[in-house]
Amino acid sequence: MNRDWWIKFPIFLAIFFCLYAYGLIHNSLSTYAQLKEKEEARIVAENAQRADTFGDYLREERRFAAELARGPELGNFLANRALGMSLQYGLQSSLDAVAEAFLRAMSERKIGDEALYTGFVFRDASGATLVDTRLDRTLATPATGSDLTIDPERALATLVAPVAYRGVNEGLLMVSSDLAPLLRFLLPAPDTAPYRVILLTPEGHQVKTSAMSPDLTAPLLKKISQMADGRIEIAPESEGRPAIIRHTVPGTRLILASLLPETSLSDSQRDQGFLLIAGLFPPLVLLATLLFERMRRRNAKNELALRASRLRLMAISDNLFEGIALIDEQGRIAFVNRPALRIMGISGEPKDLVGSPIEALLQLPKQNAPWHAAIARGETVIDGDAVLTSPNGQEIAAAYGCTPLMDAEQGTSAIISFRDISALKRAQFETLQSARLVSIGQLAAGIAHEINTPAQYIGDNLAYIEDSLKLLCAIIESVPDKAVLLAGLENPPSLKKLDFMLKELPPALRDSRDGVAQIARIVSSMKEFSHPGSSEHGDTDINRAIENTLAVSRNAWKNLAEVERDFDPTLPMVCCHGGEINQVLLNLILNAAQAIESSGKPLPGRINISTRQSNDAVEIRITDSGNGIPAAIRDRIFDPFFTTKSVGKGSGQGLAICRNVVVVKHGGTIEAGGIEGEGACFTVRLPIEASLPVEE
Amino acid sequence: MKAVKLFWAALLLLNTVTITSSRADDLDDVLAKGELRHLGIAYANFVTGAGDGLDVEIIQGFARQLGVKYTLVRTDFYSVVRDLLGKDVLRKGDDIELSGDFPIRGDLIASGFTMLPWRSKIVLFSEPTFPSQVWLVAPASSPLGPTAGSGVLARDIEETKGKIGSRSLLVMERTCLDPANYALKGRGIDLHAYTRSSNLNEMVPALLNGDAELTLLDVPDAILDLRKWAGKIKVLGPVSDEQELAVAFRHSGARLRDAFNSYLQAIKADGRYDALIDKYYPGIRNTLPNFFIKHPSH
Repeated sequence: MNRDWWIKFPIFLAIFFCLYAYGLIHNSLSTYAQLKEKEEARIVAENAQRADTFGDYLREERRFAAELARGPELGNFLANRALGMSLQYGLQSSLDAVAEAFLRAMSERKIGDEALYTGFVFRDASGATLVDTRLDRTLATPATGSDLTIDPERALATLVAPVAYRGVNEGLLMVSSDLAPLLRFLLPAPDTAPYRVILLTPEGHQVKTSAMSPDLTAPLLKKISQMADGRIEIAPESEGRPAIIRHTVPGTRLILASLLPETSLSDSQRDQGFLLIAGLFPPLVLLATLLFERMRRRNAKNELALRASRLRLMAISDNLFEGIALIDEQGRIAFVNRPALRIMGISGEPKDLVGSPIEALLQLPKQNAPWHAAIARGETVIDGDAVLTSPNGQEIAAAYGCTPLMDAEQGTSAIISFRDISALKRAQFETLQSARLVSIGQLAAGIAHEINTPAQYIGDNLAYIEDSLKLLCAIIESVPDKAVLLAGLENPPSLKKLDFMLKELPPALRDSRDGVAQIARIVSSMKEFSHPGSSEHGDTDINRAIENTLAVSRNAWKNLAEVERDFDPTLPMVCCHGGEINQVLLNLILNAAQAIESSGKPLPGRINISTRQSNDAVEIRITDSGNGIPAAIRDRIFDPFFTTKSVGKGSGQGLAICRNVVVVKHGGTIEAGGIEGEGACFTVRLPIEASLPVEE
Repeated sequence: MKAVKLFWAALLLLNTVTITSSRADDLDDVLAKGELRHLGIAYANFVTGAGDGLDVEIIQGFARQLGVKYTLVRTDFYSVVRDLLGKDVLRKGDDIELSGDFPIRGDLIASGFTMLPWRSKIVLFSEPTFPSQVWLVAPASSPLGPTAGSGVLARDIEETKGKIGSRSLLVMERTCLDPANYALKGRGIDLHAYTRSSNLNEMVPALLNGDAELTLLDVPDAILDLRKWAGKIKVLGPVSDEQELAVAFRHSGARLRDAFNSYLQAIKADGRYDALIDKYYPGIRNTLPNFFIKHPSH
């Protein structure tokens, strides 16, 4: 199967369908022709049945009229009259009985709720009317030689029955019926509105049976009169082309015809129209198939492009540093990207928040959220230094903007974009802290310089004084009688005191010189601590840096702990920022001293500082004898502002700064260890070679 | 019903005050006992064997008007006057003699009761309620021919009576078919009083049974029998003037009679009377039209 075949497959399928459809049409036409024949036969049979029904009814009415003419009432009257009774004395009551019988028949014999008879007339052989119960005195004049007379204009039928007594004609009984209700009930037309049932007299006059049989034209009536029974003929165009079927009512010369719309029967025009429509249908289906296939492919292509575009937008949205949320006028989230959830520390999928209020994502504490104002007033709200609160209560430093979004269909909504600026805030803090330390360092360096000069000449002078004192003491010691030396003094000291002075002055000067030397060393350490070289990375002696830090911080730990040094004398120089490393060491040493102080253990405690090379790094380990770091907080101690110290004792920034300096700025590591209850152990590893700062 | 009773009680009180000398009327008794007893004879369509009929329905309506219970007391033509008056009636020519004491069983007679002169001496009649006449009837096989009708009733009556000659004639004394009422006694007629029962409906069967050659029959009964025995009997002609039927009361029931007359006028005015006539005697207006001209309903 090559690809072209598959492309053309729908067309082949449509062609096959066309052929199949033509086959079905042919089959349908054959079936339709058969149905048409059956339908015509049914219609002819229905009309014949109506005519038979009407004929049966007329036969029944003839029988009833004959029974009434032979009935006991008329019989009694005729018998009493034959006895010679006069109307005045008895015969009238017999005639009244006849009239009662007629009226009873009129009231009892009905079709539905409508009276069937309009009256009875009894005329004797002389033509005198003896009983007349007609309601409106209308009566169709009986035709000579016929027992049924139709008045087409008034739709009256008059049946005539002879009245005889003992074989002698005594008169006529005429029964007048209203044909309108009779035809309505005996010959109901089908539900189809245009279907009409028409009754015609033998002379071709239409019986006016009200709305059921609207007037037909004279030519149409003539055509019906001349038609043969049981055949279907179509009237001319001028008559609306009704299909006509007629039958002669059995036992009469009346004609009963049904007129139905031409469309009820199929003819050639309808067949041609049907064939035209049916023949055009398959090609139209083929054309529609081709168009549909073309549109489907175009839509599929557009849909793929749209889906790709949507995926790109989603990827972009999910990879932004900024969180984005779209809210509607009711403050419900219509869209939110993944960064928004990540920034706010919410797990789950963005779609889980769609439809939720914006407070399910973030809220602004201590102020009204500006989202609704942005939507209502169309204003853009920007805050570069805000604190957002997540649903779990976490506060996040953030910058946000809220921009209204006008949409004709969706209404006004608002786009909220926000960025986590916690790192920036930390950097700002550290920069500020560093600047403060630099200022302190500069101040300390200045002070050290000012102290160093007098300390230097004090030390020189003390050295000179010591040398001179040694000579003076030797001279005095060489005098046999020291009293002679004291004689010339105005207030001479005692010899004992002189001996004491000669004994104590040398060590006092020696102590002074040691003190001045100590001042010189401290000042030197301060200078080196404050000005480790330059602001750039440079080779740093870590052991020396530790010594300098210990010297600077001695006052903080000397009463609390004894410091044990375990330095690797072969430790290589480390390329680092000396001032920042000093800051790290100072923080760790001060933390160790404070841990020992707060441990409650007997003082002095112990601080052990060791250095060693570990592969390409230098490892500094500072261990104290405090209580160690509880396991529950071991993961959080490097978080900014996290502290376990009491208020005023710490800001929670020390270890965070240490981690920033070691990990971020020098590419090293810092770990907190030790055993809980026995003491903490911080291990700092610094790469020997300079390392690029790590982007966090 | 209670309001009607109160009305009649008030009327009674008024009469007591204004006519202090008058004694109690049957109306007072009827209202007091709360019951109107109707003396009825099974006869034609006035009182049928089934308990309905023209007079039954009229008197039932009258009882409702009075607000009392209606009771049909069946009797016969021989006893009906005695049951009303409590006295037996003995006719001596035109004289009437009342004798004996019998229970009074009813308050009025309404059963196609003809207003005859001798009856007017012993009872009070209401306004006429129905027409009647007495005809001479023969079997169809009788050689006598009917009177053709001259247009003059007296002449027709004489012609009809003349047909009787000395033939046997079936009559029922003390009823409307009493030959004394029509001067048929003393003319050489062979009078056969029917005594097997007091039911007038049995006259035609007795005639056809050969009890007599001829019989008297009143019109209300005759028009029914002409239908029932059509071709077997024939009416030869009238033996009486046109008569009127009415409701009979005791002389002590004048106000009861007046109350009935008021009621009769009321049902004639509102059409109930005509409806009852058409129900029980639909052809009577054609047979005896003069009555309905003389006593129109509206």
